[in-house]
Amino acid sequence: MRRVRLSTGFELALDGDLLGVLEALYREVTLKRALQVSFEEMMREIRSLVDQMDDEDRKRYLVESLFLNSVTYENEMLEAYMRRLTSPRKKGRGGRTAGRPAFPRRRFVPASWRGPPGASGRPLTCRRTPRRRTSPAARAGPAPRPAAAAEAGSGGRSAPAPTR
Amino acid sequence: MQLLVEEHGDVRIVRVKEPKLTYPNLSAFFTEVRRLVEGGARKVLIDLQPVTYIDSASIGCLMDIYRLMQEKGGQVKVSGVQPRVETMISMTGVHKLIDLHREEEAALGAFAPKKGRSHA
Repeated sequence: MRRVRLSTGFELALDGDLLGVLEALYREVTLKRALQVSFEEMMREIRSLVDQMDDEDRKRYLVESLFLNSVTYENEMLEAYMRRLTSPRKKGRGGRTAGRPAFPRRRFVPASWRGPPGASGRPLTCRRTPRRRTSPAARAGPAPRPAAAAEAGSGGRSAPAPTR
Repeated sequence: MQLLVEEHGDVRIVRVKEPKLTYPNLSAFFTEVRRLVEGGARKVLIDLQPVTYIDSASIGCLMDIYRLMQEKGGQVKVSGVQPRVETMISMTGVHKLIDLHREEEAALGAFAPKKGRSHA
């Protein structure tokens, strides 16, 4: 049976166990970098794994992976459809967000997946930069100076329009 | 494939004695379960105690058994589910259709006939 080696030195048997690959990536890459793994690091590790496989292994793991992803996608779509059917319509929200919950729903986390000690157990998500909050006054832009206002009134160049 | 079939009252217990339930050994497993169902079994418990991984083909096979039992008016349950197997079954949503149990006693107890609902 062929074996592949991760960058950490961990060896993995290619016996068709897709979950074993996912567990190894999580344990050896994500946890060893204290959940701070970047997209590039994970992709480099996955590419390295795939490069070590032969065509037969690649085919086998691709089939397993596509099956798992297609069923997961199907379940997510059905769940979203059912949620939309059963969620009550709210007054005053007839736009695109009508009927959606106020908070994002919890992501699915299998019971057997455990994070490191002290971790909250939440799955990894893309880190986003926090949105800057601006006050209404700041959004309205700087107040026009008296001289500029006088120029605007006398046919001069007007003050710049407030930008958002 | 190593299989063991036992009887517990009207429940047929199919014990899988392999560490991995994957495509190469599925044919014998499904043939055995179908033979039991065609022989009249309507309560089938699949014991996966030694199994640490099931692949996509096995998940499809479990769904085939579920459909077969639905057609015949029977029930199928799975016991001895280890965390890795539970993860695969949960990720594919099969747990919403097939009753999973860690303990065999709990699974056997779940076969108990349901009490009729009183219609008010």
